[in-house]
Amino acid sequence: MLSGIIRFFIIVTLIFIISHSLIRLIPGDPIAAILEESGLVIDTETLRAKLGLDRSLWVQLPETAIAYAKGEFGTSIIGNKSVSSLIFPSFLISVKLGLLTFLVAVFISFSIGLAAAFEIGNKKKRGFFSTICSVWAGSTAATSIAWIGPIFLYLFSVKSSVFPITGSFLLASISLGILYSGFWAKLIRNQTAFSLLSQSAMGARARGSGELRILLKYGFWPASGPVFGYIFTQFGRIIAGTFLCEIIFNLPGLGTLTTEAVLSRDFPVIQAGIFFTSILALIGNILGDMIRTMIDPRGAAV
Amino acid sequence: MINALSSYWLILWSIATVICLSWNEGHHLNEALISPRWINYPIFGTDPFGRDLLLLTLKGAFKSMSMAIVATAVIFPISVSLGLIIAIANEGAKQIAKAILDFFISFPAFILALAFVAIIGTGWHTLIASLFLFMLPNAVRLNLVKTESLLKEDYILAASAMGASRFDISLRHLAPQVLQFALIKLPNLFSRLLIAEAALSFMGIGAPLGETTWGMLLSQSRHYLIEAPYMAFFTGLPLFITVFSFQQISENLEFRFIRNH
Repeated sequence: MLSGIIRFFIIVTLIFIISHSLIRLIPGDPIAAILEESGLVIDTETLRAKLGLDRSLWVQLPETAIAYAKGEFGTSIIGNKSVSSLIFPSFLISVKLGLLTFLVAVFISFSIGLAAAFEIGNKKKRGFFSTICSVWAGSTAATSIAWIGPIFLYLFSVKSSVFPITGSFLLASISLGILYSGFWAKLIRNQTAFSLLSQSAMGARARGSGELRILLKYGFWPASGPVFGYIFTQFGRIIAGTFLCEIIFNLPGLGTLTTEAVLSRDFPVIQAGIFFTSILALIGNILGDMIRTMIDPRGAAV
Repeated sequence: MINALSSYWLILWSIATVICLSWNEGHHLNEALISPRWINYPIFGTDPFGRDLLLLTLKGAFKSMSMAIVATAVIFPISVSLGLIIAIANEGAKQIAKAILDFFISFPAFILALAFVAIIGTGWHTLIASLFLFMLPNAVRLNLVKTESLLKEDYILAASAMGASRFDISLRHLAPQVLQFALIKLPNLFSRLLIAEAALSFMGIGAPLGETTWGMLLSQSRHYLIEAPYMAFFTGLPLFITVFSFQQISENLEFRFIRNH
């Protein structure tokens, strides 16, 4: 636990240093590059002072770290807004979208995977639901949110107005969740079917246990370690996936904010955006690891 | 059946992309946004500038696929050799290398790509560098895990008992098998590169503006979702089929050569 906390702080420090020294890696004069690409009319020296480029990295980094600890993230170059007022609402939106996506993916994958495993357990061979599960896994793995997102938006928001055309969390998380559910469903089917075909499940059936009880207690539960182990470590991936999703469905989350800032070279926002997205992904991974270890202590991270 | 279909599709599609390479159609604004007609001329419809969407998609596919080929050619040898080297390295170095790999794998690659764009701006070089960062850590870990499982085999133990050095073992026993494994995974890597290119270009941090790639086409068609929804569907459909075919081939190869029971 303690080593986990130490590792967390080391990684946070690393991310902080990387995200805040990015600007110094720009070839040539960063200020000239920013002014050239953003088309701002602003005094060069003011901008230099604002970005902390008038001081050396060793002086600037601790100062910025103290400011971050106080909750002051500076002001954006474009529009001169305080960065914290931009970051926090979008942080919450990204978290909400990520959690909803996770729930959708869990729901779909458990329905398909357990149905297929139930069928294998009863018939002792692969059948209709198993085929559905395989096709689902294959086709979702080949799909990109960049394709399925606009199509869903057209079908459910333009053609029929089931969901609002902008800012629909549910539609966004359904289309993103579908993409993750395929592989999870296959994993759930394979693991559960394996333990359903074992002696313990047969014994339970001979004792007259209900089919649902057999499926969950003797099929899924022994297999839940690897399943949850995989699913919960996907938190970080889902957070990354929400980036594209936010852009397609017009949700003002961290992804939209950071991408726009990158394209307009608004460095205070870029620095905070990269820092907070990484922290979000990091926390997701750590939570995933913790839940996994709670359920299945065998696979504990050393 | 599905494997044969996948192979046919890939061959036909690749030939078509090469044939359409010389085609360079101007803008015909009077033919803009014609819906798809199944029998005659615009099968996929036309784009806002009156260009045929099928030909445009073929051109985009050529660029995306050549970029994926370049990225694969870079990633493949590096991932195989890094996987081998890390697997046979001594314990301390291995732990450090694994920690670095874990960091890059758990870190959303989009953010790294964004950081790249923030530093050097958009362009082909940024796109290649981002694709590299997207795929390399995962590919290295895949080969590393494979090499480590091979190291536990008895014949490796026998070889080292007879005095073979680590270098000998890796060159004679490990390298051929890891190479075979990585070759089987190659279509999969390629297909994931295609998807990553589409995603990056879609976000506007991939190919430079004005270039036609799969991701750029998808990104353009999003703006015409109400007037021309077929654009989003038909530019993405070949991408879906291509990626699906590559993954099927990879799975089939794996089934034939690895799970030989």
